[in-house]
Amino acid sequence: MVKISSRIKIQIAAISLLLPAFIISDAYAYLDPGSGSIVIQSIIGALVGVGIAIKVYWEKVKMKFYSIRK
Amino acid sequence: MKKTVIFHPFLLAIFPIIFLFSHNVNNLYAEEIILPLLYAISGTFLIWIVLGFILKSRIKAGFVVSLGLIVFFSYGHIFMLLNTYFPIEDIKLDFLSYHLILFIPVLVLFALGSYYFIRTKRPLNNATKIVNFIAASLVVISLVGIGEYYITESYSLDQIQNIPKESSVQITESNNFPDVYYIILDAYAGSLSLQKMENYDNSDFLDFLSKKGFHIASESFSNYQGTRFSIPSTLHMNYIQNTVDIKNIDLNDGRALIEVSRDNPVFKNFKSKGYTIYSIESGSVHTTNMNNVDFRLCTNEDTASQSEFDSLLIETTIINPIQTKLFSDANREKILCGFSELFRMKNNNDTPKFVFAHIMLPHRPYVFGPTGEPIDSGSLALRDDGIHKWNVERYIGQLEFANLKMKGVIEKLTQVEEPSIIIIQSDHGMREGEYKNGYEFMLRNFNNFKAYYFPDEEKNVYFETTTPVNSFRILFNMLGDEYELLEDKAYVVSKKGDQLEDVTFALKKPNPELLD
Repeated sequence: MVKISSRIKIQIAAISLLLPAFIISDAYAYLDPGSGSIVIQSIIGALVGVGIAIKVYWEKVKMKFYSIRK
Repeated sequence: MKKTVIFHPFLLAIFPIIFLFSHNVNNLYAEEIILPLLYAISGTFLIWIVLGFILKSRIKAGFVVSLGLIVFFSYGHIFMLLNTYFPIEDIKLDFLSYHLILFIPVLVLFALGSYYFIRTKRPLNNATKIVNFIAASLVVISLVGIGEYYITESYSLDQIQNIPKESSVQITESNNFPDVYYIILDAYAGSLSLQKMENYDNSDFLDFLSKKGFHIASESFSNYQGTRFSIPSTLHMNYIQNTVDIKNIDLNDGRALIEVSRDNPVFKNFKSKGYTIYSIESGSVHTTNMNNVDFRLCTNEDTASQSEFDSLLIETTIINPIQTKLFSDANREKILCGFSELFRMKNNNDTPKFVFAHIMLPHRPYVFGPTGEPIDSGSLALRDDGIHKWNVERYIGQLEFANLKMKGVIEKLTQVEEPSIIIIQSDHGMREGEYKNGYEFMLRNFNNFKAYYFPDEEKNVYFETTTPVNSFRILFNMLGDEYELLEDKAYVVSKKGDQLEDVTFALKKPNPELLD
């Protein structure tokens, strides 16, 4: 059996430690569909919608509460 | 009464395209999205008008069209997200059954939603106003992202390069030079990694090349593990960090590197020597629209094939399940075009020619079997989409097909009176697949293929043992230039893309046998 020298062992260890930081995916630079980002963006859009809906229907909501209190 | 303006269908039609552009803005040019935008707007307009006529209400028609657009453009995204959490292979379903499970509920929701909008007696004016705002906010968010890039991170070529840019090429020398073919087979692995990692013996092709007078660099390595770094560094005959000003440029900015590739000294040097330059394009942005080219061949327009952006856009839509059925032929035609053009090249005595050919083989997508038979791998993505995992059989199948086609090309190119210089050099290794340690990682990523044919053997010095940054230095020296050779190094790029780490030592040692 061939023995692995300690220097080589250190090199293997060094590369193994280095790899997590340098295992790339982004660096290949293929276009990405961004499915996660589009969901986040859609949630923001929906929140805008909720805000506009409150503004649009605010008077009706107010009237409803007012009539209940009466 | 104030008239309700309906613009949400149009905004929802352009949003997915603008979003995709915004998400990849550092790797794309704006002209890529013009046609998709025109198609989306005109298609939406047409359907809205017809539906408005049928339903006798443009407001209702607007809602049905918007709902349809949401379903159409989000289906692929939903499928990809779903697959992230519930992978096909874990659920043990085939590709189409998985789609069917998703498709039916989506269709039912669309039908119910449409039914509601068609049948409702409620005025939808306020709802239109709200949806208009939602759609506008989606588009605005994406436009802000695009604007931010153009304001803060878009560079001019002068800013990118830290080497002087020549304004024009001076043709000064005579044309008594041989033709030069530089053929990039994308992601074609070297025999070392094929043997060691996949137990595949490529000696049939290597023996063929040897018999034809080629030399094969048995332990060849690329300088980088990605096309976007390998191509510009090879064409600049220098490391990317010496070519671009990395203090000012984000290495994640693919466009900066594309610009560097396009405006390269190798093409200029060939031009100055009186060469006619042919560029056989693969569709990859890294080798498309190169400067100083006389003839662009196999362009997307020539072959009616999709750009990477078009392909990705379709992947995110409801067409996703049948994308390969519809567009694989065009993809295959594009690859075959590259080989055909190489095969058709004539030995022209008037001026020498430099043929730069980038062929997307054996790189994904897997569309060919070993003898060129069409295969459907379910994806046309260049990237590992997380759904269609590394498949060594398909990779080897495409590699064998590349061998088959290259044999024909080599037979033809070597049957000429005045021999040409031919270099076949992949830009990086196979790159995919598992690895157990750092050395195996390096093998998979960096062990590339390199074979070369030099008519004047005496001038062939150092080519076998050097890396791509030196390839054109050696070649130009054979044509009378005096370039110094650079020290051969290999770099990995950090995930953020802002650092380059020298890992040359990992390629040289340990000897792979020691890891058995």
